[in-house]
Amino acid sequence: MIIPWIPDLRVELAFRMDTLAAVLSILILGVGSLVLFYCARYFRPGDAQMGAFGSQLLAFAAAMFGLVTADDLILLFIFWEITTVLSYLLIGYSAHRLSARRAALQALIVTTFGGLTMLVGMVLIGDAAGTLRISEILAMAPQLLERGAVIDVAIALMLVGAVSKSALLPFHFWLPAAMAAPTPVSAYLHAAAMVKAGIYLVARLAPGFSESAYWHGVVLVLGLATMLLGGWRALRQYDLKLILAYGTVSQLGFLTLVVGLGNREAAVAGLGLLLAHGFFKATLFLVVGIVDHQAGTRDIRKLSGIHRSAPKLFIVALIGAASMAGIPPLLGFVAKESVYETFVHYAEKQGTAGAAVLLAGVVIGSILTFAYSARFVWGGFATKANCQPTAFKRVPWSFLAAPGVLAAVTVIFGLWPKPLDAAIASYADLYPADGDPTHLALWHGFTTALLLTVITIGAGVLLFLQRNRVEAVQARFTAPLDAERSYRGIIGVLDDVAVWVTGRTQRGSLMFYLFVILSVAVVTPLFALIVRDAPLPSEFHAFDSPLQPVIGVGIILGALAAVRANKRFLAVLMVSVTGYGIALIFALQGAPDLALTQMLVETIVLVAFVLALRSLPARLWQREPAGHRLLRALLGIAFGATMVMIAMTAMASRVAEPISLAFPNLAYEVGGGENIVNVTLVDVRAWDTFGELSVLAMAATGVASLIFIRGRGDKRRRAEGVATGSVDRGREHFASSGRQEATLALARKFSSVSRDAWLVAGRTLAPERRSIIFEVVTRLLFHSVILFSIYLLLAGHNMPGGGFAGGLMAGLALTIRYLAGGRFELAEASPVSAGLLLGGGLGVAGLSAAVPLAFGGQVLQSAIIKFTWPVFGEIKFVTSTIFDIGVYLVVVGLVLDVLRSLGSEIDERSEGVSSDDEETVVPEPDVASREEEEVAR
Amino acid sequence: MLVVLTVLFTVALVAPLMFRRIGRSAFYVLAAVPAAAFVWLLVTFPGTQVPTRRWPRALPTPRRP
Amino acid sequence: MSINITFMVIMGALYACGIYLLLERSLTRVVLGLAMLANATNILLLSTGGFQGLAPLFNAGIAVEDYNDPLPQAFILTSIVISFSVTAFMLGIIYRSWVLSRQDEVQDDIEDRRVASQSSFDAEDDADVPEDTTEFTPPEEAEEAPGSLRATGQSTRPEAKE
Repeated sequence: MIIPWIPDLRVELAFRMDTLAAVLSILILGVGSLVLFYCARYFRPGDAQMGAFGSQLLAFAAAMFGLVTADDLILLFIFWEITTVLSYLLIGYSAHRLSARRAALQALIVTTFGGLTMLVGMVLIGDAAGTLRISEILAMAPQLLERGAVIDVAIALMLVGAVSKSALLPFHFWLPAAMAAPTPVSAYLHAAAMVKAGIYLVARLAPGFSESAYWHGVVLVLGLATMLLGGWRALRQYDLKLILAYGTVSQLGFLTLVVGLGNREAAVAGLGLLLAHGFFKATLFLVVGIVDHQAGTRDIRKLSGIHRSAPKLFIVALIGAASMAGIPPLLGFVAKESVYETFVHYAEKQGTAGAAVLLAGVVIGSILTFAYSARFVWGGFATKANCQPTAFKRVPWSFLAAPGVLAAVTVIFGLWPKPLDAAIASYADLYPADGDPTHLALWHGFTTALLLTVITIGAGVLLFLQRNRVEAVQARFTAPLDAERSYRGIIGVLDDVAVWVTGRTQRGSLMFYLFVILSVAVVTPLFALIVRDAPLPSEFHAFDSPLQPVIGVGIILGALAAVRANKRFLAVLMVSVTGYGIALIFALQGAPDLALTQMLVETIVLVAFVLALRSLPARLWQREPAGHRLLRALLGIAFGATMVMIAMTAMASRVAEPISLAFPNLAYEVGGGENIVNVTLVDVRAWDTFGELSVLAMAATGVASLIFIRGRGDKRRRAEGVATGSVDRGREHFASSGRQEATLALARKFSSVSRDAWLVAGRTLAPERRSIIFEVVTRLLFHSVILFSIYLLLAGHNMPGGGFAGGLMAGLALTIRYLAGGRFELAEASPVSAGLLLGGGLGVAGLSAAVPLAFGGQVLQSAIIKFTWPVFGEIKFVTSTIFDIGVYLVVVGLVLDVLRSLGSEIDERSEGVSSDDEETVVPEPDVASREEEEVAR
Repeated sequence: MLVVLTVLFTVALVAPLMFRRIGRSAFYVLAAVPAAAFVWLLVTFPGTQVPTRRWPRALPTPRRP
Repeated sequence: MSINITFMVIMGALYACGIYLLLERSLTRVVLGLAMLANATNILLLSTGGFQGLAPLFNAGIAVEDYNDPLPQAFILTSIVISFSVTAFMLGIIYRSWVLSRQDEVQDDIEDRRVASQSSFDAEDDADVPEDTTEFTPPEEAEEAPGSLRATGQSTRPEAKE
């Protein structure tokens, strides 16, 4: 079954159920369902994590099933990694135990490392073969092998994946550690499913690639070594589960050895052994789980007499262990006979010393297997002299059912292996048939294999009886190289390196980060310009008009002065000088809109700076500027030079026609306006402007939220309720001599009127703050300026102006009123809150964007409406003006927000009367001013 | 095959809900799913004994002695 | 395309001063640096317009190439207004920083500094864990942190970990 998935990478969802997949599926599905059945009795009824566990276990079965039926390499890899992740979750079930967490992480890291290596190998093979389909790759195997080193390396890499997953040397250490998992997990993953994935891979690749260069070296050496090491270590364990764990390691080495041998007999024997192992190992693990559940411990030094308290359990365990040890007439014996036969024939045929070593190794390994199987049975069930009989709860039948079924299967197929043999046969046919086809059978006749079996059993019994002496011998050995210690060492070094690198680069200092960023920004474009052979600028002209250098000098002087300024407001002023200079340049260059806007903005920014910085003390500025002056200067100059170079190169590289050549006609005919820039903003590129409006609204809200704590200061403070001359009394002494004091008292008397002459709320200001000239001028100018701003808005479509300039002009008018009359004046001047203006502006702009849709147009499409009015004559109205009105409102709202926050609110804070905040800047109450107020009345 | 796979994964996905409803016995339900797949396997298995490719005998002998 | 040297010089100087101020510790100077960077970028955009041309006010008789390039002008207008709002925002930050902590400096990140002084010993990875021989310990006896003793189950020999 094939479903195309990622055609570009040749990845398909291809599935194939052939013999090998079917054999493994028997294990996966059959043992899986039995383990799940067993879990129902294993967990306590109220265990909260059961749901996740069951789900993960079933998903694991599904992933394994997908793995063995996948016919696409990448699909196989995906299922492989799914099983890795699920095994992490399952092993870490008791997450409150450190050993479980550590074991889970260890398994994850080791198997993922193997998996990624395998992926590299897969990609190499897929690339060489031109396809990722496993069946096709295997069919092409002979041709691929002739390609030489690439395929050999790729196969070796894939073997690394199999080796890590199946816990072979040197990756074996994760399996015993994974015994921290609940027993059902061990029974399923570590006996029947996950570790078998590696074996499956070896079995899958063996028919085609067993002749590859590194195959025999890796498979045979590692397999044999693992088998012997696992068996040796299993004899030292006192935990039933660990005996089984090391036994599994040993058996996995054995399986790899057999399946990877590469001939027909080995294929039959290997699959038989695979099935047998799956059955007996799962049985034994489940038995261990029952023992642990009922007795509360797995330590063989503590268990005693269980064969009497749970006879049925004992029988099941005995069957499983006997199958592991290879005792007739069980399935384990049948499989092992075939294995012996395979190796005997192999040794006879090859005749090399290596084959003989293999045979000897296999026999020794089997002896060790017998010994630890006996240890298992004895340790778990026998009555021990120095131990009290263990308390053992009765085993319910449903608990025992699962291992019982598996034990029964072992017995049945041991006595009658024919169906298994028939099932496996077609896999074995993948190999050339040389000699008689072998079968799994209970009785092969008096062969060398039978002799070897007898030797094995005899020696195993001997080893078991001499167990004490064996233990003593083992105690004297210490392993020179410990895989797990090396693993921990590697991880530790990795951690140290990571901390060192992070410590060096992540210093926590913004200046350092900026340095790095800017240095890279300087170096990289230069590098790119040089390497890429950028076009050199060729045409230069010094200036367009002689005024430009003059203004330029002014700008540069202003910038340098701002850098060197030793007073805060001087620096601000100098920056404004550069801003005004740039406005002049705009004007000279033929950009009237820009000049207007820049001028207005610069003024408002200057006011904003002053308002914001007035509450900061002067001494902050005097503090020594940050160090590394030279370095910073160099970086600044380098950056400036880089930008100049980039600009010049960019302009020299222009080859295409500027698109803006089409703009004038577009603006007039389609946009209906003569001011091309304005039409661009509100019509041609209206979306950009809309985004800009949202930025303005956000910034205004941001300023308000930084200054105010609650609300936006929308509560209108009416000027009526404020006492005359009470605002901003200040605490400085204006008068230093008696005459000046008398003047001041006179001014106070005259300016304390109840009704204002010029400004609405000017009387609220303290007399020493008022300036009559300023008030008069403001009164005369304000309305004209507002009218002018509306003119700019409406006329902007055809003359310099537009929404931005108009809005800024209106904002400037409000600023003047605030500066002249204080915060109450501002409150009187703006009946509408800033939030309303911002929202309204955005809404209007949004409407003008959306409404054309209702008329069958596109978003933001403008229409030209012409009509005649009786007095005014013919009027041409373009609907993009509505958008401009939205812009106007937003800009006014922004300026109003800035004034309210940086102006009014800070005023109130500094006087200590703010209704809004919980902390005041000035701690002392304004007692003096209140006394004077009493006097003035 | 895809069907079996999908069923297995889907049941795994809804398993936690089952556990919340019926507690420990949900394991029996979970056990039934791979059991059903096992039965399906046994039923369809005899028909899939086709090997992928036989080792062509005419090819040169393997490289390693 | 012909390049205006004056503009380049102005731009370079403004960028240099802006970056110099940006690398300061005092937030006020940083804001001023940002403002200068914005101005410099505006000059950069303007210079891509090429020769000084006529103001872009449409008149049917004028050839299209005679106008000053209107597209960069539109960008610059947007840029001016947005840099104004950013400046206002930063001023708000300065004020709030002053109110809350009585200083207007860019602070160092202590958490970043702490990473570098981590020790090699990670309790999760390196602590010794005693072996347990059974799964069914009551939760209160199970260890939460490494090193705490188990109440049940004596440890098997350490070789089990090999």
